[in-house]
Amino acid sequence: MSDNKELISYLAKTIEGNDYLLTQILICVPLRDIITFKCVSKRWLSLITDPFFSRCFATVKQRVSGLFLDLAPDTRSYQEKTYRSSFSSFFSKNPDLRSSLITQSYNGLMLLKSEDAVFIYNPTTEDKKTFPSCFPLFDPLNLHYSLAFDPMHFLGYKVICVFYGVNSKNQCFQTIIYSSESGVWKHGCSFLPTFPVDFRRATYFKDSIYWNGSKMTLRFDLKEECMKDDMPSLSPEPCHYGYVLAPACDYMNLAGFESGEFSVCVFRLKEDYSSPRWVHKHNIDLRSLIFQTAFDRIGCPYTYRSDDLFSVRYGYLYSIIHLIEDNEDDMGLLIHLMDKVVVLPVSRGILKCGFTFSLFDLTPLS
Amino acid sequence: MGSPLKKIMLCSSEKEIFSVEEQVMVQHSVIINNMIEDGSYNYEESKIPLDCVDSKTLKKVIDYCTYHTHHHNDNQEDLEAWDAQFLNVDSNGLYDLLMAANYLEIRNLLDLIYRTIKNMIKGKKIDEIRRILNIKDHGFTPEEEEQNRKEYPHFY
Repeated sequence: MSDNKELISYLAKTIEGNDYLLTQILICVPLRDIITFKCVSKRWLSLITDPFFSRCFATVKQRVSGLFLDLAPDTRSYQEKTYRSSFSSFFSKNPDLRSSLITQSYNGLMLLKSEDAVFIYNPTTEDKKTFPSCFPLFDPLNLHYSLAFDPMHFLGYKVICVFYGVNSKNQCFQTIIYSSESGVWKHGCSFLPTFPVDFRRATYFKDSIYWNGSKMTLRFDLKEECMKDDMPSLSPEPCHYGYVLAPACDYMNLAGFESGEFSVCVFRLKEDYSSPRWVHKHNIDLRSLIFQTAFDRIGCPYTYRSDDLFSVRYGYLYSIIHLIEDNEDDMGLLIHLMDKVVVLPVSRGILKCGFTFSLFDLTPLS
Repeated sequence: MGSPLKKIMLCSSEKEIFSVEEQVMVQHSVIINNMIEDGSYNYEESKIPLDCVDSKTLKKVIDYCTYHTHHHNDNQEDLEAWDAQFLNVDSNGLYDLLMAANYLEIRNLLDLIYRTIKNMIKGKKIDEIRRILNIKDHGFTPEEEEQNRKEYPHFY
């Protein structure tokens, strides 16, 4: 075994020299370590920063890796609609970002908005990029931004800004588009939807950005760079409180409260044949959950979204946050309930077990 | 596809010959499967030379493939326990296995080793990783290294 030492160094060199093998090992490593590993050697740094790595990484890390909630800095002002980030460790390098709001986050990039500017923020590298200001004439409150970032489909990211303004003659909604490749804003289409649309909350899925509307969802096609009115209407039941759009398991999904009942419906967008339609997938009964966790907290003045009719009506305070991918074809429903976030498995509509995370930050200081 | 009782010959870097059930290797190794399927293996005369795999490693690879062929119906926990025991080797042995699995394209074994190496480096400091993987030349200039150590002292 005298040549053992030589063999070790040979093999270590092989693994070091084999980019493919090393990449395969590195994509298994938790994200936190990846940041550290960039300093191991120049080769590791170049592998980790290579687009091939991010593509491999994205295919393996299917699950949601973190949940970021905006919290109000002054927890006594419960009426505030949006909540500011107060994770002390989160913006360690950029403390000025603590006063900004998370508008959207996708595949590891976040779109943040402060009073006077809009940023792209990468929580992994803690890099932030401020956009060139687009239209200083407009009140920033009327500009609604949304982010499209999908390393599996295209390089770089795009940001769409929607605002209401005058286009030649008519009052209508207009879009401007920023792409990280060009680095500038350019004019997009103008449109006038026939139903009210909430442009504050956008969802990206497969080359399109979606916004919730009262009757249907509005779709912006990123390839054609225009608004499309081709989405199916929202199921026969017209009234779903506080519904969210959530891509999971390779489909677009929709979760909303059923009117007048303690249950959540989950729909899935099927694009078979010519026209897409919402297919009813699951019904989740929330009663046992509510009775378990909320009984002793009735009357808590905290609301997640003040436009949540449901909470006002029943005195309970809860809302749907998101749907996450749980297994290959299973999803988890994230419910915000008082000072907790609960994950419910969405399988066969039966509440089998749930995981509860206490959000002590959400409890108002007395 | 050959019959389950057919044997094939594998030859290690030390020219040691291993006789293995064909089915075992065909199921696990993409390379050997291709060789058998395209008829380039002659049962009378051929032996498959594996010049970059030593006898010790080749024996382990064959053990792995044989066990997983005959125990694929076992429950997941038992298989995982066996895998853990199987990979209970030093880091040099692990690299040898990795190289062999990569060469023979044994998907399951590769994934198993990736996960194991990952666990070896997961959560480790940079100096430890350099030692474990024997990285002597990190490629950074002394200034860059100095800068990194200053900026992220907790990484080292």
